Amino acid sequence: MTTHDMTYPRKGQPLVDYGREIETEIAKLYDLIEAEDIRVDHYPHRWLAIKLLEEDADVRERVASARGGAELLQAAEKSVNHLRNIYGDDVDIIITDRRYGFITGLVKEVVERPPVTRRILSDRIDTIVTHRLLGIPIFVAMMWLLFKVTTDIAAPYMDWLDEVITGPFSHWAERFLNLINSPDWLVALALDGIIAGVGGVMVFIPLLLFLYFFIALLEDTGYLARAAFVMDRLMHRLGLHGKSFIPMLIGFGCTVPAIYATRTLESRRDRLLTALLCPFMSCGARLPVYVLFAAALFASHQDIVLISMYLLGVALAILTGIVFRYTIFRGKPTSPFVMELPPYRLPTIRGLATHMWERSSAFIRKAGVYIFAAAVVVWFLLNMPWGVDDQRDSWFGHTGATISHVFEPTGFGDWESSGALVTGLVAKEVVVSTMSEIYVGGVEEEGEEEFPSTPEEIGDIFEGGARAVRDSVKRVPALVPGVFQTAPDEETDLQAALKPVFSERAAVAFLVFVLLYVPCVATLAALGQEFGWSWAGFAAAYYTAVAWVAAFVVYQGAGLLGLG
Amino acid sequence: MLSRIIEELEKARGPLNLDELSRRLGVQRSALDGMIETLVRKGRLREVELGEAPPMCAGCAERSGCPVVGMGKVYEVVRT
Repeated sequence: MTTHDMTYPRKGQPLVDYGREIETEIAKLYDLIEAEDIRVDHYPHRWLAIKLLEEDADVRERVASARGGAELLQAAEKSVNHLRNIYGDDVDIIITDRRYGFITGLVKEVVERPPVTRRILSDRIDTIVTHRLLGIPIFVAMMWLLFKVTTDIAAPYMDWLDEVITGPFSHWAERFLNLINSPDWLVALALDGIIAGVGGVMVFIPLLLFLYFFIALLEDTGYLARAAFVMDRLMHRLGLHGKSFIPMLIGFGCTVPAIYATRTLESRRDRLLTALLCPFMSCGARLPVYVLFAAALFASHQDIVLISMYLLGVALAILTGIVFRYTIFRGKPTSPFVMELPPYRLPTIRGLATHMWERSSAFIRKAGVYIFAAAVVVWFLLNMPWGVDDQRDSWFGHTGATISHVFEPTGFGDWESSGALVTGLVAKEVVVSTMSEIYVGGVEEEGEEEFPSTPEEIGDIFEGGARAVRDSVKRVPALVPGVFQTAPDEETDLQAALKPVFSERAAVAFLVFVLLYVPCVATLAALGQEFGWSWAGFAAAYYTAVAWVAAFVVYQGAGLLGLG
Repeated sequence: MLSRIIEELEKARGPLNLDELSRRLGVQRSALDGMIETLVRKGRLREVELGEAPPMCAGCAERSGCPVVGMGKVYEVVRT
């Protein structure tokens, strides 16, 4: 078919039939163009008439400068208004719609396709991973695998790093400070405050490196977009906005950018509702708390504890979304949408390493600033009034003891846990650093400890590193159930200290509280800045109330069932 | 055909992906891309780049490590 064939034959049947109403208006304009002999760049009359009905800006400009053009434009405007009244839509949309209808019909008539179109691999994978019923179980299984692989492989490195920080690094710091005749309080601040506190969090760096590596793997292959699509389908059915999953997904990394990311939503109702749900997503700062307790009290089921916390957060976000939707955020239904999924890709080692390092270095920077500052403040509070013998009698101890009454029904009504939860307002990792300062830094050493020599300790570091690599590699085949078992992880000082303090049900209740209670101050500031301080205040009260009730239900419920 | 795209999206219980939509409409994916483009141009669909960070993220030190990159695009029905 040539272009010539597609031009309008004046008396014959037009190639594309735009429908009686539009054809009538085209004919009117055609006749006017012909009668007035309006010439615009040798364009065919019908084509010109259609373009005028489509309100093509370029053609209108050319017509305006032609002889008789003003009259033609006036007639075209009248026709457009007439058609708009009939169809209740823009004329160019109707015309394009008819054109696509014609093309589709033409293609169906002249193109023969094989009865079964060969589906490419990407389509086949998508059919499974975005399946209406299988999509969510597959996503949950992927998340479980992620945590299982991460915790199992990272554990030997975490043990090694803990040995390095509590051993050689602490010894060298102590030797150096003694060498420069530092006062005792400064040595205690450095060892019991900064190294115990910041070091307690730094131990988790290998875990985060592996976690971010595997997340980058899911992201770079294109699976994460599918997971978001699958999760969104669920949220959409619950009346949440179609794009709410984007900020919520960011919330798994950090809640602060997640709240700012709600700006991509159009209505304030959707923005506020999504922002209020973001803190339920387990941010990276909560992971060290989960891993610490999971390793201390549930060593053989760490992965189950971790995935449970993440899923509980998602479940409560959905529940809260439903409650809010039918109470304070009643409104119009959300807009439907279609999503363009990126193609599956083979990730590059360089890309994965870059993602892994960028995210981990952000954590290290945070540890170096906020956690360092919090560790110093907590150490002073644990030693005020100055020279107090028992930390229980310190300002920190008194404050923690006062608050602890609130937590007696939830199973962690001791001053240490209560105080740590208060410091967690700065950032959730600070819960770990505070506990490390109390349980590890606060332990009095009996007698003078004999340190090994520096060369010996350097040798120990390399030997420990080599052992960590070997143990980690050996764990890879052990990930397949029933292949063979590996030796249990070594217990850190902090894990050992937590064991006699927490029962299993109290530990789970504590983790549930950490997951749900008022988010860090930076998150509250973001909520206040975006939605006003009354909403930030409401959020703080709501999260804390939900956290307390959930922890109470877990602790008392498990007690009634005779668990833990 | 363009109106059928909007109808299918309104009818669907939850979001669709473009491949699924092209199957439902019985049109080739390449043809659907052109139709979607027309609807975006006419303001009937709003194109949202999922990897697009809000303006305040520009100054964020952790932007490069942000988990949402290259997540694809969403075409959302614009309701007037």
